[in-house]
Amino acid sequence: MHRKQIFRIVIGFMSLFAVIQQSSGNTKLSKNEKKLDVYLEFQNKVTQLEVKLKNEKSSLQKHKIFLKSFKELGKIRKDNPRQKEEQEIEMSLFMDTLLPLPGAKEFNPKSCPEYIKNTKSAMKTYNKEEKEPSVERAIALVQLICQ
Amino acid sequence: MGSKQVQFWIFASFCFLSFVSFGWYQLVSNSKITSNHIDLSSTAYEQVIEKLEALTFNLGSMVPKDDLTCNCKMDNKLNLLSFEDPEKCGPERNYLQDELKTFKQIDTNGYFSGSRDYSETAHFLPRKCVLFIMRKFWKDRALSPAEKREADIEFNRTASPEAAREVKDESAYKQDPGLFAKCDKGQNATPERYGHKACVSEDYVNLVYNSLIDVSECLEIPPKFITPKLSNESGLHVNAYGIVNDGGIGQFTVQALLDVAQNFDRFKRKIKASSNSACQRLLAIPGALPNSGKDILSTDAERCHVIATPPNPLRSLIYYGVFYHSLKLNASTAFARSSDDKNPEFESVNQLIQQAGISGFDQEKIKQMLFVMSYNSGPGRPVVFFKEWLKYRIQTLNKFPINKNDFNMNYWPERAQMTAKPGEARLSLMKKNGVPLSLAEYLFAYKNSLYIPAVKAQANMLDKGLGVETCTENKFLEL
Repeated sequence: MHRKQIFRIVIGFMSLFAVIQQSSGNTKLSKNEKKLDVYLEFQNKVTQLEVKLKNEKSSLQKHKIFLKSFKELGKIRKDNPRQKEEQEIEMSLFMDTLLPLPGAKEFNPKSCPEYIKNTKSAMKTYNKEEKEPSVERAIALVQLICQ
Repeated sequence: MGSKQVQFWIFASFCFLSFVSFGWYQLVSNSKITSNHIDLSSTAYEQVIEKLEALTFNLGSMVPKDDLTCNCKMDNKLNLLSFEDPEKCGPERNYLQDELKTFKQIDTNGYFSGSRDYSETAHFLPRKCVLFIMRKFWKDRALSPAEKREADIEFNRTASPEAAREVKDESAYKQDPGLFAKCDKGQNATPERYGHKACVSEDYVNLVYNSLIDVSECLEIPPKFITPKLSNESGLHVNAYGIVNDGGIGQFTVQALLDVAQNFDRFKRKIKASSNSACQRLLAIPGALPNSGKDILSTDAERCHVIATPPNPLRSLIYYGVFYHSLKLNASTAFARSSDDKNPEFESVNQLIQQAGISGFDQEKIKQMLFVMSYNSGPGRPVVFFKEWLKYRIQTLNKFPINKNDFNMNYWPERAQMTAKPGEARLSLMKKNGVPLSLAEYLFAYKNSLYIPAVKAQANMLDKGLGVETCTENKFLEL
């Protein structure tokens, strides 16, 4: 092979490598640009859910709407990097307070008083100074579904 | 000497010898019948001395004294615990004397207000644990700013220059909080906050100890498990009254009393049906067990319900037993939760433990830590915090695998860290240089909780003062 040909091939590889590097850098940048504030998104979704629930009358229908949003909340947390620890704890407290509320198959509006009672009980505290707004918000959500 | 005199002396000597021989025979034969152990005394003389000492001891007091030794200094006595003398406590600390007398009157058999053979229950929990805790708790007297300033001046008189305290203006000192209550107006009254600890007399200690032992036995609560926790909360004082109106020996709040009320009837039926002598004794004290859960008064204004004596400390301890069992069940259920129908992304404690590579760790001990925390935070929240800590630690497993030190509860933060706001501000003061937080540090940094380390510190104090595992369980709150 001629020297010039070898030189061209080397130059070609180097250019290709540079292009690949640049494009991967751009991808990272675009990811950074699009980086989701999970906590904010989580709070927005809960607020939207609250509005939807207030506009709906049937408890069964409300529960369906709730289930869809609840699944989404779990998914955005799973698909995105971990947030600040305080925010992660807050989101988990909210979701785990709702553990006593059953899924689609078992939900029965007649059992609402029991759901409210169990939800209140799930994250109760004996320490008056230990306030958790996310727990209160989750309890209010169950009350909204059951209204 | 006449023959009559000789006869008299022969007869007297015979009588004396007969008496001595009979006494000797009695002592030897008694030792054979009553002693089950091998007598290691080398000579008959030593045996007689021992038997005579034993006889004198038994005649001197019907109840053998139990061990009151300690690794401590109390009332200027080294290595020996002592009760307080009501005559020396003064009127401001003798306010429970009348109530103790009333308890004696209703406790006609002296089950709780009398003394027992404390050597019999020492294996369960020695009485000295209760005495030690009651004496050590908080302060005997709540000091005013002027008294505190005076105490600093007094301290500096004998202290080295390095140890000397800064004597500030009186306005810079705070009045000690009143952490005790008086319930002179009865069981349904509102407690009156009071600053001074009741005199820790032998009668008072016996009442608390007898009640604690019988409730533990009847309701099957391990006394060495609950002792460090009670030491942290009320110091076993019947009238302890916390800042947020948590009252009595069990430091009950509204929510805790509501929980007790919910479960009370089931436990009362069990106590009534039991043939256990400890349960029988509980039933003998009027008011110790209300008629039903509906009779349990839970509001802050009615807190004397769990403070006034009689029937407390018995009632408060029975409630504590009910609370212990219901809380343990709820905490275990929260820990074992494996799925959520509504959320496919739900991760259980067990899954996270596997991911964190700590399935070989003693999970009962981990559960025990969260159970202790749930006394304060409720049964659900500690599990959420623990799961979040596991998720946080899983991120750095490659560089920092989890080890047993991550569960070390011998932790106490510095003053500056305590004053910082929980979260990033507090974390920045913890100077971890990239090393992940232990469970105790995480709970403090983000949830402002030091409850498990506080109970662990009480256990350490008891181990140090009275001997390892004398008042605590083996490896309490540690892996």
